[in-house]
Amino acid sequence: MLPEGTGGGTTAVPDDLITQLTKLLGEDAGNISKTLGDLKKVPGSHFGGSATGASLAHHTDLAHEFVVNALRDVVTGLNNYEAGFAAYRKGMHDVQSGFVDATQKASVDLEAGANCMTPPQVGAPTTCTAVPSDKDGA
Amino acid sequence: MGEARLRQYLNGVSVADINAASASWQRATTTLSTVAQALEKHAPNVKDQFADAETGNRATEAFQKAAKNLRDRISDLNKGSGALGDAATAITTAQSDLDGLPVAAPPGPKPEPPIHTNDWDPPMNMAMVKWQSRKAAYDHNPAVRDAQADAAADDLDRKLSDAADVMKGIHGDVATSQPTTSGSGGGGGTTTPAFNYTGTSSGTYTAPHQSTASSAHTQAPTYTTSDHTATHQTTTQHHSTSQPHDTTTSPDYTYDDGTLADSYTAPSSTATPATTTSATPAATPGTPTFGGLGGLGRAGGAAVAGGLGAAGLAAAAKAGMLGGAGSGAVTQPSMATAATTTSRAMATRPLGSTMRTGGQAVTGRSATSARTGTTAGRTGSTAGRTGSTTGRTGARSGGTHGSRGKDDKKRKREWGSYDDGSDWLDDEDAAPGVLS
Repeated sequence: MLPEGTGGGTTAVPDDLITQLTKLLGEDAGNISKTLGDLKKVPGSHFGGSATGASLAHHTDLAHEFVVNALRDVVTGLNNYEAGFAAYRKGMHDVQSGFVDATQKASVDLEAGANCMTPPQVGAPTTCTAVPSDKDGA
Repeated sequence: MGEARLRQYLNGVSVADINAASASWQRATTTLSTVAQALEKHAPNVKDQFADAETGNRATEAFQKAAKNLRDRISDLNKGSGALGDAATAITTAQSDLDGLPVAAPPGPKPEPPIHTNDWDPPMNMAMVKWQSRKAAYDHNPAVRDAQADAAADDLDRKLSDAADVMKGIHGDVATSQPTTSGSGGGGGTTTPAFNYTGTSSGTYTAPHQSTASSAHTQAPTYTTSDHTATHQTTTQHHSTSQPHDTTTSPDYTYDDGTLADSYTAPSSTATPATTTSATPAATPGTPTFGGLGGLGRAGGAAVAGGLGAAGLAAAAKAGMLGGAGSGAVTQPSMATAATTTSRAMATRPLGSTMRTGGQAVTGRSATSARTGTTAGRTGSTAGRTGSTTGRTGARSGGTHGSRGKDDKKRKREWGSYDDGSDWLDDEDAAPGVLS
């Protein structure tokens, strides 16, 4: 359901789903973070003393690094989504001045989150950055 | 050698750790899949929760993008988990293969031939046939064991290589898709991971931080040489079936014609270079050769030069032997050239200049050739001096041997004279009773 009017008046939007999604995003980010900690590496020597074993160890290490970096970015991205949702929810209740600002911030945060969903190459700097979060003040 | 190779391949493996990693990667997919499903579920509806369509659409796209990213990572983790599992299975199989190799020899001592009595005796012939059969089985068994071990090592190589390819596909980064190599010129360069292999015909790999009994070689930078053909003739005979399957490292091992250089010596190695095979080729007139590794010239001084000095000078020493007791009457310019070329070239510069350097060392006396080699060795390094010492020793021993041969001949002649001269006296002494 859409709010009745934008930038003024009352909003009839039930924020249930927004609240749920905000919570979901926070939980998802936490779960992925926990998963990252459980993702085991294999010491190089455990593949044996052959050249191919060393090569496998090397590439396994890189693959692990790639996936971990990608998932870290996902966590940051989801946190950005969460921040945007939280800002929007807060703005909806502040109909006098905050709605437009909240919408803009939500839009910016969502875009910042989406930037985190393209995994960086190994060794390349990430374009993913965390945005300031308003969720605590919601 | 196949067995040693297989053992080396399995050195330090931990199937449990690999399996644990595989399982953890698989578990991660479960969590990620749950998150992805939630995002996919809410993506279509989330846009309706925003007052303006633009932000709503952005939210939907954001959810979809996150879900897709997670799906991709799930795929990566699935593939990686599978590759790790395959690697663990391959290692387990190889371990089983190693354990299941036939015993090196049939129980009991090596079959002894029957005591020879009479070639025409049928029982004797039968005994000979039986012995030959048993001996053939005895000799054949190690070969079978080695072949099976080699096959197992090859199989493990292929499977680990396949797993590595999967991992490459995951990280997808070409720039870092091969172990980085640093260092050059005077040696000391390190390779990460530094898998070494010896330059023997077995091509046995050694773990990065293990000391080796024979010369341990690390990767050398690519180089070019104008006369590497001669080197190739020597070094290619060492090529084995255990070339690294990781083709990403091959450029560092190749000559400019694409052939693989077989071995490299790390200057820090305290091991004895495996260059003994060069002695014989070096003695071939007109065919300058290099002691195995030395062809690379990359390691410069140290052990390589020493090995080459020894090998080359062994040929010079051989020339001395040919001349009898070091008289140097025999002229062996090619051999002298080979010896000197090897020592000097390896001690001071890469391969490219070997022919030119060798040309300076042609001498008319074998003893001089040995000394020339000595000088070249000194110019190079400590190891070069070692090689020179070997050369000198070889020359000296050659001379000694020549003298001894002469003395032996003389002694034999004298003994023969004595024997001839007193034959009747011996006979008389031996059987006095008969005469009496």
